[in-house]
Formats: sequence, C-alpha cells, structure tokens
Amino acid sequence: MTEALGGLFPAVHPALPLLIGALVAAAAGGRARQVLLVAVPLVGLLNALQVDAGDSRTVTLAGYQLEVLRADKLSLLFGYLFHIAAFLAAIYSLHVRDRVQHLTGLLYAGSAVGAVFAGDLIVLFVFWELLAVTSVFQIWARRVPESLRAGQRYLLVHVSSGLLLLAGAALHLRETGSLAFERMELAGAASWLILAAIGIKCAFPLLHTWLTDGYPAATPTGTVFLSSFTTKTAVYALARGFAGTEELIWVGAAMAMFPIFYAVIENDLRRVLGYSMINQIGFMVVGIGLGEGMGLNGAVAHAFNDVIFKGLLFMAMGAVLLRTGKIDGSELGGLYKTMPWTAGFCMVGAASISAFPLFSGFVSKSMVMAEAAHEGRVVIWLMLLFASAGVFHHAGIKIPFFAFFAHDSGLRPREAPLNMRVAMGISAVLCVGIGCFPAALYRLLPQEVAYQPYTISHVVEQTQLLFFSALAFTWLKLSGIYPPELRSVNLDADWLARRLVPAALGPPVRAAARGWRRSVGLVRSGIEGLVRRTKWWHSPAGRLGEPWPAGETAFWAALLFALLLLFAFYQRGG
Amino acid sequence: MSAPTPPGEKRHVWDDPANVRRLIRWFLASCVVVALVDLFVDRHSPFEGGELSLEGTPFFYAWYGFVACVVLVLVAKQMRRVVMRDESYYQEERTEESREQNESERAEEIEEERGEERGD
Repeated sequence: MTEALGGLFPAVHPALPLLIGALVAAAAGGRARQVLLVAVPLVGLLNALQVDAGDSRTVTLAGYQLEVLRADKLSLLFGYLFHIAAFLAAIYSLHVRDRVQHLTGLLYAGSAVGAVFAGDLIVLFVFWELLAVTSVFQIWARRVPESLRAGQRYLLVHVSSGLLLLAGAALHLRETGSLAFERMELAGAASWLILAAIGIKCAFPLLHTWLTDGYPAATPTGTVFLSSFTTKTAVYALARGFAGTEELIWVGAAMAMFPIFYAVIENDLRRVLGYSMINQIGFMVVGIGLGEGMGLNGAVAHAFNDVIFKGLLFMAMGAVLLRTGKIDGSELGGLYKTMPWTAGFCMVGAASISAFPLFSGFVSKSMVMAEAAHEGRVVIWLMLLFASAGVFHHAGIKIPFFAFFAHDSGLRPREAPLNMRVAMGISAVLCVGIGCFPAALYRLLPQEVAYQPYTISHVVEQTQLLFFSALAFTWLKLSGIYPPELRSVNLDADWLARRLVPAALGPPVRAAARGWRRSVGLVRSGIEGLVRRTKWWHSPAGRLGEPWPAGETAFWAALLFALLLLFAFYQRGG
Repeated sequence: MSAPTPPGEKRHVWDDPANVRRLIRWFLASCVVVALVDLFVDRHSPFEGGELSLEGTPFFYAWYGFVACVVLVLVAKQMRRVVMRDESYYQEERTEESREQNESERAEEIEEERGEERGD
C-alpha cells in the first residue's frame, strides 16, 4: 500500500492530522464540522500511509533526545487501525450535536496514534496521559451524576497508570541509561512499574474494573470511541515491551476465562460487552506471552479485528440505547421488528467475535490457539477453548438474543439514524471482508505469516464447538435453567476500592482533612519560619539546592502526585 | 411475559410459535449433521507433539463446547448468590456518605462562621 502512494506528499507526524484536525473541526460548526469529522481521519490515514517502516524523528528537549516518531510494521499496523476506527466512530457520532464530544473524540484518537509511534518512554508517557484526559469526556458528556462519578474513577485509574509509567521510565533511565522503549526483561523495579502501567490500561485481572465501570456510563457514541483506543494502545505497548514474557500467558488465560462468568449474569448489555472485551484481550495477552512468531502475530491480528467487531457490537447497543433509553437485558426484547438493520449488523458482529468461519474472528483468534497447541501447552489451550465456547455464549448469543429477540418488550423504537447504520454497515463489511480474505490483513502483520486458517479440520472443529455451544444455550433456555436477566449489580474487584478501602481509610482521611482545615491557622503563623527554612534548603548549601538527576525528580514527583490523587479521591468519599 | 402485539400491527416472523419450533428443529438437525461430519473427516491435530490425544477422539469439539457452556451457566448462577446486589447498591452508599460528609462540612462552616462573628 505504501509503495503505491509513496511520495505523494511528505508525511507529517501521524498524530498531527488528527490532533490539529480536531481543533479545526471543533472551531467549525454545523455541516462544515460534520464534513471535517469524517475527512480528518481519512486525511490522517493517507498521511500515515506515507510513513515507511524504519522512519524515525527526534526532537531535543532540555538536553534529552526524544524520539517522537519510530515507525515499524507493528506501530504502522496500529496506526492504520486507529485511523479506521476514528473514521467509523466519527460517522457513527455525526448526529450528535456536542462540540466537546467531537473535539475530544478526535484528540483521543490522535493521542492513541501518538502513543503507538512513540519511540521512547517519555513521549509514550505524554500520549498515555493525553489518552486518559481526552477519553474521559466520552463518559462525562452523558452529563448525569452517575457518569460524572464513573468518569472521576476512570480518570483516577488512568492518570495513576501514567504516573506508574513515568516512575518506571525514570527508574529505567537510571538502570539502563536509556529511555528507548524496546523489549525488556521482567526484572527490576523499572520493568515491573512499566508492566503495571500497561496492565492497568490492558485491564489485567483485578485492575480491570475501570473498564466495566466506565464504559457502560459513557454516551451511546462515547463507548464506541472508548472501545477502540485505550486497551488497544495498551496491547501495542505490551507487544512492544514484553513479547515472550512467560507470566503473560497465564495472566491472559485468566483474563479470557473469568469475565465470561460475569458476562452471563450481567444485565447491562454494554457491561456484558465490557466483560467480553476483557475476554478478547485475554487471547491477545496470551499471544504476546507466547512471543515472537505466530503468537505475537495472532495477538496483533486479533487486536485489529477486535476493534472492528467490538466497535460494531457497541454501535448496535448504542443505537438501542439511543432509541429506547434502555440497555438492560431485562427491559429489552423483540426490537428486531422495528430495528431490523441494527439487529442484522449486531448479528454480524456477534458472528465475528464468536469466530464463525467466514467472519473476522475466525482468522485471528485461531492463530493464538494454534501457537499454544504448537508449543504443547495443554492447559492453556483447554482454557482458551473453554473461553471460545463461552464468548459465543455470552456475546454471540446473549447480546443479540436479549436485545432483539427473546420476549417482546412491547418497545417499538425507530430504526437507528442513517449515519449509525452507515457506520455499522461499513464495520460489518470489514468483518466479513477480513474473514473471507485474510491475506490483506496478514500482509500488515509484523512478522511473515505462514498460517492457513481455512483447513477442513479447523472449519469442522470450530463449527462443531459453536453449534454445540448454541445447543447448550437452547437446552438451558427451554428447560428454564438459564438464569433470568435481573435488575442487579454484581460485585467485582472494584468493591475493594469502592467499599472496603473507603470503609477502612475513609474516616481517617476525612479526619485528616478536617484536621488540615483546622490547622490552617496554625500553619499560617508558622509560614514565616518555613519560608526562612525553605530559602536555606534551596540555597546551594541546602539539600534541595543540589542538582537532582532529572530521572529521580520525575520519580518523586510522580509518587507525590499519586499520593495526592488518592488522598483527594478518598477525601471525597470514593 | 411478552407484551401483546398492539392491534393493527403486522405479525412478525417470530410471533408465530410454529416458526420458532421449526427453527429449533432445523437447528437440532444441523447439530446432528455437523457432529457426524467428524466421522468422515480426517482431522489434523494442532498438537504436533501429540500432547493431547483426547483432541483427536470423535466428537471432542462437540461435547467440549456443550459441557463448557453448561458448566459456565451453572457456575455463573451460583456466583449470583455471592456477588449479586441490589441495583442501587453503590448509589445508596454514595448518598449516605455524601449526606454524612455534607452535614459534617456544614457543621464546620457554621462553627467557622461563629468563630468569625466572635472576631477571632
């Protein structure tokens, strides 16, 4: 592709068209903004196609050489993907009349592109935090109290992830003398801090609740943006930094397994998709853990497909939420009568995530499983096979069934707006297109592919697995064993942060806050003395007057900021 | 359970129970066909070292898929006993706490105002 278009015009940094385009689009109004919203990702994609593997750009800042652009096949694939996702999400949100959502949506996409082209940890950190700050508006823009609070929790988690990354980068600089973001061994504090930062954004088990808490609180269009960029940037970073790390295989298998149990009993269908997203990322994390070769290729290919089919499923649920004002399985049903297009597109997304032959999931998920079998990892393979059956059960059947079929809810909403149907239609075409012609995707993968998804064995095995999973659903449903959709909340790991920690820390923190306010007067009188002492500290003779290494300063600043954040959060009562 | 079809609305395909029964019959028949294919296809195991010979036995994927989903649902159902709470679980906590916090803050404000009135 690049050869065909190469030299058309000199490429600017791939994040710039989206970031600048976002500002221009936000300044425009009405029809002009709608045109810009769709045009900006396309111009960005054209620009990204001019960038070649091997391109690199550095800037010098405060004596440090920062690599703002490092392009290879891995970063280019994610770069293309994010432009396609931004294009689809922009079409999907054209009917929205909200400058803030449009502005932050494109800035968010631009941040993701910036992050995957970042050559060193400082540039990565900047875009990592920009991702957090721009994405939270997709939640806040719903403008209801619950979304405001969910957004605060989301932001706290993501800003903390950035601080961990900064602290890790600072230690990494001290340990290795380099800021370059390359593959690292999991040894030493720096690599653990960086892995923790990526793990939070990747929704590792116990660090995952920002996703299932935040995404269902976003606007109908916001979830489509959210599902495309944050976790996939993290998957990219994991693939870049920790490919072949043994521990990730087990972390990924756990991620593929545990969310499906929650998904079965969850009532909010967008939260079901949130759990299903963690399950899919689990496959990618296993692939990354399996390392260079087919494992990594499978992980990256599956990330590409997941953005499109999960985006499509979130689009279908967003359309249902927009038209009915409801998203709980217990309140919906029978919508196929008046929303047949949305129902049809949703089923294409469901078939893709379930990895039916001829749909996109089939050609990528199996690469990870084939590699696990190739390495003789029986337990991991059986866990992933269980998760494959489970994903069909909760995402493939449950989502379309309870929203569009099941019992008739009596709701007769209008069909989704035209722009939503267009976005869903293009996504559906991509799902089937990649499923039928995987070679186009395989060409973009970081390593040479010698994988043939369409063998008789694979088609027969996968069809049997899916048909008999569906048979189990049918039997459980007809016999009345299947648990009914109930209006409820299911406790997850966030219970620790939202209930246990506030119960334990809340009173002392609040007491400390009260004490702080009362002691302001005392402090005021002591300030003069403090000023004198501070002056001395900062004089060349004092401790703070000594020159500090930049890395150490960044580490302590990050730590201090993290403590302040936590304090502020719990002082407000979680 | 289902809301009645409003008068005058056209009957849709799944409004007719006979159609649903027909769909289920077709589905069961295709399950049988899909399973029987196993006897005629020489499947190639992904385990080149033969680590999992079970995978090569007939109907492995069929029964594994069925059992996996039944286990999934039965376990998830039991999970509800432990993790399920009322929909307003986190909201209640919020209102209680914020009320408590508001009250304590107001009490402090009043105290401070009084202090200012006294002139300290």
